[in-house]
Amino acid sequence: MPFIDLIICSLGFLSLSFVDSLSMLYAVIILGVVLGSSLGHTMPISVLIAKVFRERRSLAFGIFRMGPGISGPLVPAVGWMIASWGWRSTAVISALIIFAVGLPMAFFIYGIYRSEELEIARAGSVDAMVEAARQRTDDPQFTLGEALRHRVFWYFSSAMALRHMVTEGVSVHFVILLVDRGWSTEAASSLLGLSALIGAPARIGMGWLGDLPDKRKLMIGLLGALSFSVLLMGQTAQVLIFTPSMIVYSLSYGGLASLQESRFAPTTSAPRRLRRFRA
Amino acid sequence: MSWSVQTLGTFVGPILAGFLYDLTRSYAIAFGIFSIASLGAHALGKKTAIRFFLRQLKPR
Repeated sequence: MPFIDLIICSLGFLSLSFVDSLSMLYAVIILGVVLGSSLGHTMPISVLIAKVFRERRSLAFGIFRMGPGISGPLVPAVGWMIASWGWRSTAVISALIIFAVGLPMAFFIYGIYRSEELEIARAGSVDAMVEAARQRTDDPQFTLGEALRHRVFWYFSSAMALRHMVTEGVSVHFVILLVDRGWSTEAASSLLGLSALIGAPARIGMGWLGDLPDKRKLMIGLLGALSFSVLLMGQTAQVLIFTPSMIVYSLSYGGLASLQESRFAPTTSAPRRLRRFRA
Repeated sequence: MSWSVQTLGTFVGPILAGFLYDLTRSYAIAFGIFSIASLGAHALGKKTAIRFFLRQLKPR
């Protein structure tokens, strides 16, 4: 999957440099850039982290989820490239960078996948592998079918769907909300950027915290904080109330983003290597 | 599978907020619904946790 993603995404950026109509722009963005990045940048890497890291899985997810936040400072560099060389050249450079950085990573991921496959082949079948994993660890081990039959799986998935509904809804409408209340577009965009920046260390911090106490309690607390902060952000435009609410929202959002996958990983893990994460 | 369910939320949130904003010219109701949705997630999270606390999940 990472190889397919890499090729589609790189070709998407490359095709972007040849765009000469609105319909072609939509096709290239959706079928190239977005499809490519969606296929390989999130799910396969999440699965990889869940399989490889055990002792400090939350921290590993926190570091992974911090990526979008810390990539923020690269935006001015891309802006500078567009201003200096034009957007078509920048699209070509982006394609080359994505391919050059992504290829060794895809090989690395493939190597881990291969070793998993070999382990399954040695065990004889996936079921035998799960049974062996059960004997090696205290974590409950489930096949996909077993996980799907548990209500907890659906409770948790629904809870996270609601969480995504809230955070995506707020993210998309954040700038419009502030502009609607009299803020300038620049100031509103800056606050959105600040929100992402606050969220970045929260992702790694909550990931670290998630490895210490029971992360279920931490998630429940963060969901409560998310609810309260979103309510205040929607009801008031006063800076003294809105800004602290926004900070609480950013911290909750960042924390939940890094905790949700690590929370779920132990219950739905396929056969995995029990390598320890030494951070 | 879990991601598929969660992806539904990413679509619904922005559309719901946009629809309610167009209807009321305010984000108060949309964010109020988001707050209730977060509480719903909080409640579901608690339910999940209680099940884990009371009886450790076993494969069926």
